[in-house]
Amino acid sequence: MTDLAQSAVTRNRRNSRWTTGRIVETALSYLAFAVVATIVLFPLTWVLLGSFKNPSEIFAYPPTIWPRDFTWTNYADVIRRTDLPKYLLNTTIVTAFTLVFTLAIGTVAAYGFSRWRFPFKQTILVTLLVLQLIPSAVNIVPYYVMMSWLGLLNTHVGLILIYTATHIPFTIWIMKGFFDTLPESLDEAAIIDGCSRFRVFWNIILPLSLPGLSAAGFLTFLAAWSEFLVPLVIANSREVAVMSVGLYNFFGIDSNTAYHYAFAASVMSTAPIVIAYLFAQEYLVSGLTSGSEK
Amino acid sequence: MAEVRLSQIEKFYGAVKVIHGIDAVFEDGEFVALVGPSGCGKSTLLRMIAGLEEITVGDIYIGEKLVNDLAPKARDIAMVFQNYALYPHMTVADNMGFSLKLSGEPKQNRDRRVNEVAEILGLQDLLGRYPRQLSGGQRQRVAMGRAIVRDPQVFLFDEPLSNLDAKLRISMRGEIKQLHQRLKTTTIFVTHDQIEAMTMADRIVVMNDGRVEQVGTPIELFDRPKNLFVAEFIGSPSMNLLSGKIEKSASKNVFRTAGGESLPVMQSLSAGDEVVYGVRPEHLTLSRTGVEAEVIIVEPTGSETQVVFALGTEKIVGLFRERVTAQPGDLLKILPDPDQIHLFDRATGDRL
Repeated sequence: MTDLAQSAVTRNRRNSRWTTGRIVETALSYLAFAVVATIVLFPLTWVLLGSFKNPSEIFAYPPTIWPRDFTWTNYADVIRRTDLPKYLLNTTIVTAFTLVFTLAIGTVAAYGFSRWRFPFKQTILVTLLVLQLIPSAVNIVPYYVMMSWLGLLNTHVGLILIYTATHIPFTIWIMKGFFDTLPESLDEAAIIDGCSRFRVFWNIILPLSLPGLSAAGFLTFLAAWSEFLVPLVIANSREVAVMSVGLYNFFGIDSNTAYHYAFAASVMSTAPIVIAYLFAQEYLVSGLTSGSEK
Repeated sequence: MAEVRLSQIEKFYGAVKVIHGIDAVFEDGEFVALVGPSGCGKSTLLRMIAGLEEITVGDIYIGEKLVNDLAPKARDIAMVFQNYALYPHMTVADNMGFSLKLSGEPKQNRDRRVNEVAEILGLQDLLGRYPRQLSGGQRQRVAMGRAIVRDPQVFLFDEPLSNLDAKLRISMRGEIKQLHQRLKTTTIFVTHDQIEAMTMADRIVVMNDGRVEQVGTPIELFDRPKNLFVAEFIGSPSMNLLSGKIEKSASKNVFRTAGGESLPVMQSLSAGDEVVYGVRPEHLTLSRTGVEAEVIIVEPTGSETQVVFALGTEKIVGLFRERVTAQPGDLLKILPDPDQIHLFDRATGDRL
């Protein structure tokens, strides 16, 4: 065999060893992904499929994955016989107002932090971040006292106030990060073209900030929609209760839970988040990672 | 169109003074280049004229109007930015017509004006495109179109060619100059590239460390630099500057370098004067009567040859129209053109 042929064979062997290693590595990665996906998706799938089963089938042995008798009855009953529609409406109201106020205040503040230099700017930003680290359980008593003092216990306004205040800091951080990536010469060009500062923000900066807005909006929506502890303490009356509190009522003590209804209610309460994600996903990743690279 | 007058302009950032009392008048219809190294304050000065930076001390007049406290939109100026600053979510037509829209111009007039300017700049086929769909040169033209559409009294350009590749930069240079000749609008052009300034401007303001070093036409700056900074900054390759002193030799003045080589001088100076001797690379010739210098590097460019010599302990660059076939280590005789010698006071750096 010539030297050339010999070296070609050696190279091929090396390549084939490399390829086998790569295949094993890829296979292990996919196996790990599958395990993680199963852990995450199994309970969700169980709830989703269980919501279409008869009550007897949910606890049947051997258990079934796919519903034997596919039924919409659980959903119809939950809508007709329970307060779920009211909880959904309450949650929608609270979440929508929270979203609007948080984004309105948060983006304007973030624009200020991004474009102006003023004393203690960095200190204020870090303070906002530190405040964000305090869990809501720690704040629950002050929230209760404040809302009681303002006469806003068991009102939507009380919840909206608390949610807005707690979600503004991370909205500022996300939006500031995004605004920082937009060159200031855009603002200056618009000012020379005849824009006021607000018009620069509204006509130029905001339309370019959709990825950031989507990310901040989705995270606010997610947090406001699924918050449990605050509404449980601040607004737990039947008239103003939100989805998470209402859903909690579906689960009785011991074996007193109507799981078929609980499953259907859970799906109905989760669906808006999934739909919101589908709308936001186009911009979500770019919004969350903006500023991470030049 | 209007004259721009700067009177005793100063700028402080906190306690740091970055502009030191600048006085200048840019004539109506003139193309002026502000040139200087990075950080010399040329962009700050331009931004003060635009109204994007506050003036700490002094007055700026556009025409007869004092504009110190006027918002940028009220100054009747248009600015082209280094990164173009086109609005990415607007089409070329919308970018160009945005200022007219803000000023309440009816859509019909707006479209007519945008089309007129697009025709001047050859942008007619690009009006429906977004900035991301344009090349660097096209974006540059749109940025200029956005400025022209407003028919301002003054155009301000802040290093608009820096982001272009070398070839495009040269062609855009010509286009901007041609455009100025056509529109005759007062133009202030900031650049750190002295070649850009030399080729485009009617007059150049050379700035250094927040001060004006010299104002003049390109040829004035090249032929009679006021001080060492201007001498070194204007011209490419830079002027050769050699330190030494004037000596009397056979009843005439000569310049003696620190290494002992003597070079001709026409000016009558006192023997013993400590000076800096300046000669541009293109004013050196190869001559049998010249001083001997050792060739270090030969760089042929085709049309001319640049040669770096060692003259005693100093390096000196020559630029020759003829082909130089010498090799590193060879000894050649070089002679400065005595009429093109620049002498500077060694202590102050001022021209003698």
